[in-house]
Amino acid sequence: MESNLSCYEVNDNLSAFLDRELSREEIGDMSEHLLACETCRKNYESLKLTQIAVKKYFSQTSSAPEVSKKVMRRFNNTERHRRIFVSISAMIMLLLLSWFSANIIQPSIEKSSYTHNSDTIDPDKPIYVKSENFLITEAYYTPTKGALSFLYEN
Amino acid sequence: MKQNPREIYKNMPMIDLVIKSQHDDRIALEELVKRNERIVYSTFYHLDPNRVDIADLVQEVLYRMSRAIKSLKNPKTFKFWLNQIITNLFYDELRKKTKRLATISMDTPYLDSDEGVSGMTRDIADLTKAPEETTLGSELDKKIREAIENLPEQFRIVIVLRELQGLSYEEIAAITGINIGTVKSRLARARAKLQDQIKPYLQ
Repeated sequence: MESNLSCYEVNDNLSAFLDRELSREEIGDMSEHLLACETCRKNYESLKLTQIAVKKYFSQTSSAPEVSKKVMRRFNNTERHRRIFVSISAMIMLLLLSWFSANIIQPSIEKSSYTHNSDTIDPDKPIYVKSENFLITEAYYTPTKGALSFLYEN
Repeated sequence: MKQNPREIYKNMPMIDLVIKSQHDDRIALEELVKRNERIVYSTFYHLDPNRVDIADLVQEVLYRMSRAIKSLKNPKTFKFWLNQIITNLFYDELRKKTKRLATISMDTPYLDSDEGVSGMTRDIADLTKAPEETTLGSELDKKIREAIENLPEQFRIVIVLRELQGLSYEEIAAITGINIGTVKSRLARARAKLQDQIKPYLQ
């Protein structure tokens, strides 16, 4: 039976054949050649013995260092620092958010707050109004403007 | 009879340990670290037996693994993923070494396969060798160790990832950033070199 492959081609692919990292067809062709060709078969057997020796050598390891305690300590420390950082950042964000809500966001005025007769309102006395987010803000009735102006208006 | 919780973890499959670690189970994470100490050590050792700080490298890899465990999308690819961490650190260390030994070129081109033994050059010469370790015995082991040490890094890494870690050509290509054809040819050349050197010692 004649093989499709030359000895040169087979030798070139012996390593990949050893790992079966070839297509099914290539594996078939290689096997066919190796059955028929003693030289190539001997090369293959020698390569296989080398692989076995190297694998055996790799599997013999002198005792590995025990690092798990050190790793976990380092990991736990990093986690702890991370959590502290996140908590502090969250607090700062909350504080900033509160400050912005109180000072920047315009409160909406409840209708009942300004249905008074303008004659009865003392412009020097503050009127307390509820805004949308339930913050109490001081406001003053300005007769000329005909509207409430806010203490902290920009 | 109540089983010790740590015993349960000792018998747990790797993939379960990975998943539990991803859900903040610290005992599982510690067991995962312990389970992989040996293989990580072995890999670094065979990549460069003369290093005196292998324990530090092992610790660094396992720490990085712990920190990044939640980023592993598919727990089934844990071995491949861990090998990426190992290889990346190995390359980082190589770069540091290159900077220290700046006179030795890493770009030595490789001639084709029909050149003689003398044509092969090492990329980096290690000028400070650690004291000779007592080998695990035979002349054959000594010869294999020598032969592997004489392989340049890019050849050593493919043989270690293949024969020690059992990774596929595709996985090795992805980890090392080279194409599959190059993995195939480097493995073939590394094996041919080893075969040459240890043939007289084989039965």
